[in-house]
Amino acid sequence: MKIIIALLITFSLYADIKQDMFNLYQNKKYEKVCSIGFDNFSRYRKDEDFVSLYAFSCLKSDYIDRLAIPMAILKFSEESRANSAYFSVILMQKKLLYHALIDDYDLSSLNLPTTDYILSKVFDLYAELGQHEKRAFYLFEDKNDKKLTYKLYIQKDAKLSKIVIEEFYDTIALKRHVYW
Amino acid sequence: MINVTELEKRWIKFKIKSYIPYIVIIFSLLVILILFLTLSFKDVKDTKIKFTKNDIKKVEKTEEKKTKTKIEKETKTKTKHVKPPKIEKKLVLSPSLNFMQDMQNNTVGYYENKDKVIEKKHKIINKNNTHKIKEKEVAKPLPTPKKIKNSSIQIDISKKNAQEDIDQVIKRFKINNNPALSLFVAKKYYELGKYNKAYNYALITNEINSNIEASWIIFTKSLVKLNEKEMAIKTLKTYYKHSHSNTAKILLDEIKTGKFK
Repeated sequence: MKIIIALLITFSLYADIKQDMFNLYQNKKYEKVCSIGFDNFSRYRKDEDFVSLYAFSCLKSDYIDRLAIPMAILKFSEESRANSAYFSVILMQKKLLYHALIDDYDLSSLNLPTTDYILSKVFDLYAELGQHEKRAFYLFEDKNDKKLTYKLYIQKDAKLSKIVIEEFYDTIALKRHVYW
Repeated sequence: MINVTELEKRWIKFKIKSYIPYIVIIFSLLVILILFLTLSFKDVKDTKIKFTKNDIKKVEKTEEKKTKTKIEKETKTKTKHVKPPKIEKKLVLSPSLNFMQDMQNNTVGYYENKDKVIEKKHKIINKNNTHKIKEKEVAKPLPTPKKIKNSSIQIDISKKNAQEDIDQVIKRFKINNNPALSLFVAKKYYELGKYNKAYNYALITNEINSNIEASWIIFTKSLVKLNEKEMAIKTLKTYYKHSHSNTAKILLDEIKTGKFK
């Protein structure tokens, strides 16, 4: 009897967490969803819906390194495999861009798939530059919308350098993404 | 007597004779100079013509050589790469968010059961004969929410719920006149495609509180949907001047360019 009650409680709690995460995601509170998912990940790692929700919320709140585990776990359905590939491309592009910006690694010879995510767009625009002299910042114009521009630069801290991408729409700052 | 006139004549003759050698020399020098100049000009022209002809020949030869080498190179590359030329279009990966629909459907399922119960209750009132049986049905414990198989039924249920929710919120709004509630109603009506009602409730919200951005956005969006594009642009422009809102600016551009229809 005790076991049944315990099971019922755990199931109800699980449903609550998942539902809460989903509601928060719909209310665009991605960072909170990502942190809840991170705290409860070990318990629900077998649920691909949960893992996908966690991964997308982390992606939208710019916690890209957290995609590494969902990337490896998502494999049992066609949808999760597609999402896994999507996450892996973004994570790889982030790592390559970071390497290129800090260590002058040449990206022009690479021909990687791309995504609709901002980091992928900036990665493609940077790779198109080819070999060039290091700049303090890069300004890129969106291929589809001329009013949309991206400013890419490295923010140097004492311990760690960070990639910063600023989105501008007609000189109005929209969003600032920081990756490291 | 000395004949002066004759003397003068002789003197002039003598003077002219004395100038003759000078004149001859000057004349001969002039002739030589003219000859020299004409000859020199001729030489320059000839050399120019000769130079240009040679150049043309040389250029022609080099061009021929270049084209030959290019053709040879091209043929070589063609023979080497038998495969068709690579397409530069990149593979674009897109995320799949169907799992979210499933999650949403799970929550909708709960409301579906509620609706069924309400419908059953109505049937009980209408048919007295089956009163007891149906009551039993109602009293039965409800099954746990499951995925709804038929998608057409799903849509009907969600719409009913949305309308019920809106009615409830309108009732609450009439009691406390909260702009958040009227904004919710405007948003819901916009989602349902009832742009007239969305416009009205957004207008009411703006009258209560003119600083709610979302309300202005819904207001202008519904105006566009009601084919009042110019009015939408005007109101959005005035709102942007007042608030300097980014979303208002973006929407304004989208309406102007026709991206938002």
